[in-house]
Amino acid sequence: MTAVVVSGARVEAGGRTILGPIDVSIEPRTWTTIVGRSGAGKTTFLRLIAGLARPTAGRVALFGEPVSDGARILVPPERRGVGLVFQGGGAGLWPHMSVARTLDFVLSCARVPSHERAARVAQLIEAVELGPCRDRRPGELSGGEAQRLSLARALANRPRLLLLDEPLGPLDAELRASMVERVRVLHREFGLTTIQVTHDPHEVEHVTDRTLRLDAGTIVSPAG
Amino acid sequence: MSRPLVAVAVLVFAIVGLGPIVIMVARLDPSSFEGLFSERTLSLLGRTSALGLGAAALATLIGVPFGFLTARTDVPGAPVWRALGILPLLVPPLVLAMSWAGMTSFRGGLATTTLLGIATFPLVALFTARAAERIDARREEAALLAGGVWAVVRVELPWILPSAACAACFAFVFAVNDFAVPDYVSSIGPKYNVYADEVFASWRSSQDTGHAVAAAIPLVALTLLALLPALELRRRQAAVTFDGDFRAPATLRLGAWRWVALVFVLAVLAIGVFAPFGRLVWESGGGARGFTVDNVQAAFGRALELGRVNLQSSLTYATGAALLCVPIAIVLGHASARLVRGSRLAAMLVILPVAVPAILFGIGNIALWNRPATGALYDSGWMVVVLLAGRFASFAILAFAAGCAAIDPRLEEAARLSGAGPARRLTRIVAPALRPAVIGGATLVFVLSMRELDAAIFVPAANGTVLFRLYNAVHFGRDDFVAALALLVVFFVVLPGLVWTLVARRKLEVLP
Repeated sequence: MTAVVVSGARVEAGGRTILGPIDVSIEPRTWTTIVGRSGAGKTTFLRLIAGLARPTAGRVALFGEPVSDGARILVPPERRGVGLVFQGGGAGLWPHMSVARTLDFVLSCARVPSHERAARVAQLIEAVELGPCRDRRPGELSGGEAQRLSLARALANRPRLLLLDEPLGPLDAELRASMVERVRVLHREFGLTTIQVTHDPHEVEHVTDRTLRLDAGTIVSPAG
Repeated sequence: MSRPLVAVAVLVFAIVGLGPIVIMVARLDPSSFEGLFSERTLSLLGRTSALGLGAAALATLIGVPFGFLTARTDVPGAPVWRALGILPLLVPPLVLAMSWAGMTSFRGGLATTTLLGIATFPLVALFTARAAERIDARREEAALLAGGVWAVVRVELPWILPSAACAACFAFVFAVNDFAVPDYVSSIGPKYNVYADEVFASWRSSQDTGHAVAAAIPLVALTLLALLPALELRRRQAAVTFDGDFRAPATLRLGAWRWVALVFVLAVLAIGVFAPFGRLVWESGGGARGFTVDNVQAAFGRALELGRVNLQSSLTYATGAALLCVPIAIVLGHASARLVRGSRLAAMLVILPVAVPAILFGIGNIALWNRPATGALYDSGWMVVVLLAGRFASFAILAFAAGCAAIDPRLEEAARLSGAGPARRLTRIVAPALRPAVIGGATLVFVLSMRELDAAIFVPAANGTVLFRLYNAVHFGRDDFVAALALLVVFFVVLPGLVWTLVARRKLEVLP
């Protein structure tokens, strides 16, 4: 079953087309990298898949299930089984919650029983090596730690699809390499389908199965 | 956003905030407009506009440098001066007027304009300080490298001035709608009529609510003229900064200029805080008859004894109004901040209760609630709570909406992807992240309710409030009792802010 099928999808804002028409299929358990210049629509593409950007036309299906048809959202973002790491260092992290509370909150949203949550939180913290920071809030984390928390949060509810929006941007070369390796391990371990947006395709070329180039809102090479 | 929650909040706000206005407008008929544009009315309107413009100009002139210097520079003692600078806003303007009247021979329009300018300068200072604090350090450092402190000022002024202009619009609104200060100044010197008097007089003379509503329309138009640009400026200033990526700017070093800045700051505080409060303390101790500490003790003892019940009533009503406003503000503030279409219309409806003159709002409450079915409520203390919540919920809603607009939408998106529903996102992510804005909005409602006189004066139960007692006592000239009671009022008005400062590590946030 194909993980992602986007057919003729288009996103508009303020009367201007910012993405589309897009036609692409992505196979499960693969790692797809999206490249393109700033403003090409890379982030919008991820948001379209996640359900955070409302399409004006076309269809999106995830793992065989249609999730949007034209402007109609058939499956809301929270039911799509998607994890998203936002662009930027600590972007989108909840400033009033510590590392452990953030992960506990996400698990509670999925109705994981409280007696299981502590163990799951500990596992996630261990997976991203944030043990010493478990009681710190995002404002007290370094760029790399914040990014790892973003990753743990995205993976907490065991998504099938992991979306990474330039997750390595603010990190130095050494941290980038270790982060890529960490995500690669988790990608395999959890059997994820990963779509990553990046400015620098070289940093993930050894893990990528396929690279798509976006320009002015459409995929220019190679065709999906 | 959860639709049932929004529906309930809209219904409550529509009843307590918009109901009194709608019922008043419904009483308009063609005859209500007779004599509306007479020469006298137009002259009063011109005078009131001049009063508002003068007060707003003075507030800006003092507030912009005061706010910037105390928030961003190394002026010695800046945090203390900054906190003290809020006091004139918290004190009922009537109390300021009383204390200044004893120290100067200024009377009439100049005195009223100056007093209202002093009373509202903290608004401009607060908005300026807030805007100056939200400038990302990297932007400022780039300016600093390019041309030192002056380059920083040049880069930051275009960022700060819209906020200051927004606050100046609010200062204008406060000034043109104030009834107590012109009334008091008129009682001790030459008569200085303003438009708010006209509305009151129009209702008192004929008890004709239709005529009172018509008389208020020019004042409402004037208020809206000031509020609309204020809201537009506020909307534009709301920037996404509540995120891990924001870097707070460092304190600017003024070198030897900081002593000059200190003199300016202390001069402002002398006019707005030290002199009026010193005067009140002096008067409570006997004043010209001979100041003694025993007299101070006796005056406070008497004020507590005679005013205890009034203080209790005021505190109960103000706390009730603040608590009632919290859930309304959270739901409607969030909904209005996330509106894609109709946000301007929503903002207009939200500010309507503060855009109409307080007197009109008070009369509207009589018209709405003084009927057999709601008679029990009308005669009870709950009526005051309902009136105050209806009048001031706008501020709490706007404070929370400003917080929501400044919060990174990705915080909510991440929660949504995690499976959190609308109510859960609001209560677990948005509200806790904006706790200072929630408590700040509630505190604002509390403070405004404690100093409210103009609207509440019409409701029977509000005759027991401490401001009503103070208003009566002022006109009977009991200086030591009045001064002590005024100081007690001020203490209880600033109490929530003091408690928050002692128990919380974060600032209250009520501004965009």
